[in-house]
Amino acid sequence: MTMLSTNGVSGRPPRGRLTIFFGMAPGVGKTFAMLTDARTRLARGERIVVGDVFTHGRPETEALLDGLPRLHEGEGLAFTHIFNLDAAKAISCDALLLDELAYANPRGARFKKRWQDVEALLDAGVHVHTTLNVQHLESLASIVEQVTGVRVAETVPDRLLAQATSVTLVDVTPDALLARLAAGQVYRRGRGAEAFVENSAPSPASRTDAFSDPASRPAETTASENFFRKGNLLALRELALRAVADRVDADLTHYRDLHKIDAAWPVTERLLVCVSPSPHAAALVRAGARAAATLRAPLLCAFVGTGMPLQPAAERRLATHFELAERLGAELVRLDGEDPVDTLVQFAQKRSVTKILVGKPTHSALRDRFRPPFVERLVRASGEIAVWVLPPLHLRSPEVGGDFARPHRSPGKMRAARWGVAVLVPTVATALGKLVFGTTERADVVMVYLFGVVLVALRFGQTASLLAAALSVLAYDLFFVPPLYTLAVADLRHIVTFFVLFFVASTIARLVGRVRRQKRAAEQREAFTRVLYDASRALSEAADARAIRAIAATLPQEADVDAVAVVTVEDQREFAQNAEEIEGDRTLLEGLGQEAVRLCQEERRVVGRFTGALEEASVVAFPLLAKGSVHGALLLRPRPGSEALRDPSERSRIEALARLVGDSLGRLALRKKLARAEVAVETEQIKARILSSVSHDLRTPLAVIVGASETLASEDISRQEGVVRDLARSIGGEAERLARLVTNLLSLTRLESGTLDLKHELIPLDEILAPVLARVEARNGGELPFHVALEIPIDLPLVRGDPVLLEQLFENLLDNARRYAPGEVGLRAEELAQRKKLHPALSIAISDRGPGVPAGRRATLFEPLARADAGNGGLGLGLSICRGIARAHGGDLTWEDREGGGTIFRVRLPGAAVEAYAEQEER
Amino acid sequence: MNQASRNAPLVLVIDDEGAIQKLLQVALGAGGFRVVPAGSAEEGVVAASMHRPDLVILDLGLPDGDGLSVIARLREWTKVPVLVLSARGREEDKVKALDAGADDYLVKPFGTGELLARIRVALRHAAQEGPAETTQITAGDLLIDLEKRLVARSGEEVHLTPIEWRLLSYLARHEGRVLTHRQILKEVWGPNAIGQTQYVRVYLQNLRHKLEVDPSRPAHFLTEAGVGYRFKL
Repeated sequence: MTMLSTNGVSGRPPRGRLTIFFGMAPGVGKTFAMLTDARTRLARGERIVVGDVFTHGRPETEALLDGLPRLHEGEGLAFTHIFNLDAAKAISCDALLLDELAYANPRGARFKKRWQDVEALLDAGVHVHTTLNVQHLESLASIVEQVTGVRVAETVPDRLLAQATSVTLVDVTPDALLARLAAGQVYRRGRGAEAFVENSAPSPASRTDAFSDPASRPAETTASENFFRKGNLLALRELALRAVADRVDADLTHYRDLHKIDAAWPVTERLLVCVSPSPHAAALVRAGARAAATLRAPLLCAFVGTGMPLQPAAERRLATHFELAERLGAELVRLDGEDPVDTLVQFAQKRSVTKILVGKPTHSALRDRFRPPFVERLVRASGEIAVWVLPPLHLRSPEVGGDFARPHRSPGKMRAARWGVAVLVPTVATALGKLVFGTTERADVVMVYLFGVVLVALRFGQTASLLAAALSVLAYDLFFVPPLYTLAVADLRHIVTFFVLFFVASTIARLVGRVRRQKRAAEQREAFTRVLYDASRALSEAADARAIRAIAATLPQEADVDAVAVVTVEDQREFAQNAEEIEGDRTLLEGLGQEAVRLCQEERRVVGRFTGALEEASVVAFPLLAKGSVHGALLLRPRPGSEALRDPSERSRIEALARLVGDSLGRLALRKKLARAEVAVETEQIKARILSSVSHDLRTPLAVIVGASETLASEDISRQEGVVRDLARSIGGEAERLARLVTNLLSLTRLESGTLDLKHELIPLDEILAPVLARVEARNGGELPFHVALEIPIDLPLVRGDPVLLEQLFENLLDNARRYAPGEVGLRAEELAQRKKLHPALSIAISDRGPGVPAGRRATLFEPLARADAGNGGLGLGLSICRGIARAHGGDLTWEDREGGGTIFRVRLPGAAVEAYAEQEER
Repeated sequence: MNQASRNAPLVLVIDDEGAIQKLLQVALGAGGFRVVPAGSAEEGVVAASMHRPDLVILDLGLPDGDGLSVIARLREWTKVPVLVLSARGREEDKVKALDAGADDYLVKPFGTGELLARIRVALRHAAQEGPAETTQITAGDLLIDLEKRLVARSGEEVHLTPIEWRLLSYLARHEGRVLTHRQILKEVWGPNAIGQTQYVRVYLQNLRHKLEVDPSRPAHFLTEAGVGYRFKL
């Protein structure tokens, strides 16, 4: 996309320039620096527009603002901090000032975050100046939290810093900053404690908005006193300086690349971060991103599953980790394999990874006694690849988004049943064992218990079957091992039996459980694959956008939604509320729906509710994408209270369907384009042929008209009554011929250019033929015998088509017969036997006893300008137009030799049953 | 400039093409009409109010606005018959013009014989506008008695369904004039049926089978392709 925008292929303006005034903490003077810079530029004659600035009530900052042009005129010093994105996109200036890149927009704004606004502005070609504190950088958030103990609510993707055309570090020493703070120059007195995170705007109302995550607020307030400690400031300053230094390095690399200087740092490293659904993994991802940036290495982020579905809560956490990794520029991989270590190492080797980053295990060492520890095995198996094991960062609040922290609960009923069965099955097994085997055949009894455990595992999962296994051992001890009915064991060998029984039972339970889950996952995948397959098959059969929309509207049935709408946009035009282009529930486009479609088209990603962009909308809009172009949007309105679409995996399923729809729309657009190109070529060829024939075919009748009228005008002949009449008649006849010729030429042009808009009316064949017969028979003028013998059954279906064009079709055919095969011409109509009786079709055969189609014309009879006998007048367009009209109706025109001499022309046309109308009639 | 007497019917011709104007001057003059020419829509509307013509011939493709607006402006104050001239293949225009209040149309190129016949039909209907309506219509071997609601072919009474009768009487009362599908549907089936063109087609087909000698070569119930029907005596 960036490439496209820079070379201008997509027609977008070149990307705007981003300037960031970067600092270590609030109060270093970023806004001040930005405004000072703006004033200098203004003085230089540049056009500066202030979009939004936080003055925090500092008088010197407010003084700087004075006289700078505002985006929203009429605003006083107090900014509302809501700015009109569309207005900003449209302005033309050298710099738009938008303070606080990390600002969280108030409710009602199109994007949740200001940095999203800024990206949109840059895409629109607007140059933006903004400010940013180091603690808001995504990749540093964990570190900042670790160092300062303050959790940062709002983060900005690192790519913004990387994309910036220029980064100005605004730096003061911590001592100076502390002195400023003490002097009240940073915040007005009594305020410092709460406003330490500068992006929370000072006015109480918007401040509440700034923290989208209310849970984090108390922590910040209590921690705020600690934030401005000297130690913290020193650390933050170092982070800020390093971030800028890294960028300088990046600039240098870019410069070298640009000037073809051999890269000093070839890509030798490749990092792989292995994440788990653990809440700690986010810190791991950030650490990986920082390491990758320092090493200038590409970053991969992988999750290794065992093919089993994760708990929904874990799935959501994993999705947030993936989202974070993607924001930090990592390539995401999801691997599945029986053995996670092997799978991971194989993948790492395949992708030439040089370093794998994993987290230190957080579980107790006890677990490792039973299962070889993952990290240890990884270290052994990874061979050449270095493995970095990072400690879990002791974060005050694990990074679980409030949205995703909902615990997963299975329905209570199911749980109760599970435990019931876990108790019941060993009981039954005990009774069975007692009755069938007694206390002597203990080996057989063990088998009965094992059978029970397998049954529980199959139906009720691992936990229940483990309980059943434990109860089985207990029951076995009580009821079968002497001394009976006590837990005491006479023979120590039985202890071994207990152990074996429990081990086997629990192993079976685990294996069966795994198979069961794998099976369920496979079924789910299979079901979705089937949905995709069915959809793609249905879509491949859809002939036009309307059909595709109709199919698309039925696709998200499985999702928890109460209304669906599909909007398609032809030829990438702006979406207009065109009734033709919407399928499904139109009310979805009300409110913010239409805006969602527009944004979806612009951003080429999912927008609307739950997505962070246009969160206020009641709908979620999925773009219908095909090869980089947007062909519309799929709108879903979740059921009231349903959160299903918040789940990224659910969204990605819908996205897959939307892509499928987008692909078929793309194919359709391509087909149309090709067809248009073909028509253009053919039209050119026909035009050339017509032009070459015009000289002869138009000039003959003109010559007659000119000659005859001159003769009429001459003195000596005007008195001779009979001659005058003859001449007038031949003028009339030739003029009529010219008129028909012109009509045919016009029709041909319309047919060939595809601009013909066909009417679909239901007409009795008689009605089409009546005026045609009258005209053709009258034209014959009695020189040669000509008669059309009609054979039309009374119950013939109606013809479905355009009355005027159909008249022309039959007039050309019958006129053709009149001129080349005079005498008796038969016209016989019948209903065609159709396999599907839904839409009848008609066949009309026109048979003559003429000389037949000459040998030279047999292959090209329907080509325009191919004429049986050049001397007989007419451009020879007739038959080609007839076939064109028939085909435009979805029918056809063919010819064959008639037995015993002559030709039969067969017209096939779509019809409609007569009865249907007679019934409607009686109402 | 023409031989017609002072009280001969006056025809206003609104057409921007000189050749057509000239042809119509000659042809109408020979047919016994007086002619007033107008070269544009504006001129035509003014001439109509000044000369109070007995009939207006209107070309639909005028340089300063479409003929439809002229019809609308004329119909604001006069019932003068309007005969529309249009090119073939623009059936929508004809239908619009007829629905807007034009009385008939002719397709270019047209014969002068046909033109004069149409003018006479239009003038006759204009003169008849009023209570004195013939109750008996004879068309070839058909006898239609509008009052007794009877139709006979070669002296033999033909049974018609109520809708067939309504259709026949509407067509017969407007003998010689083209009636659009819309006008017929509205009159015979009522305003709810507009758009159901196939009703008209099927019923007209029935009438032809009951009343025409050769239904495939109708002599009375003529089709105007894409526009409507015309009942010919």
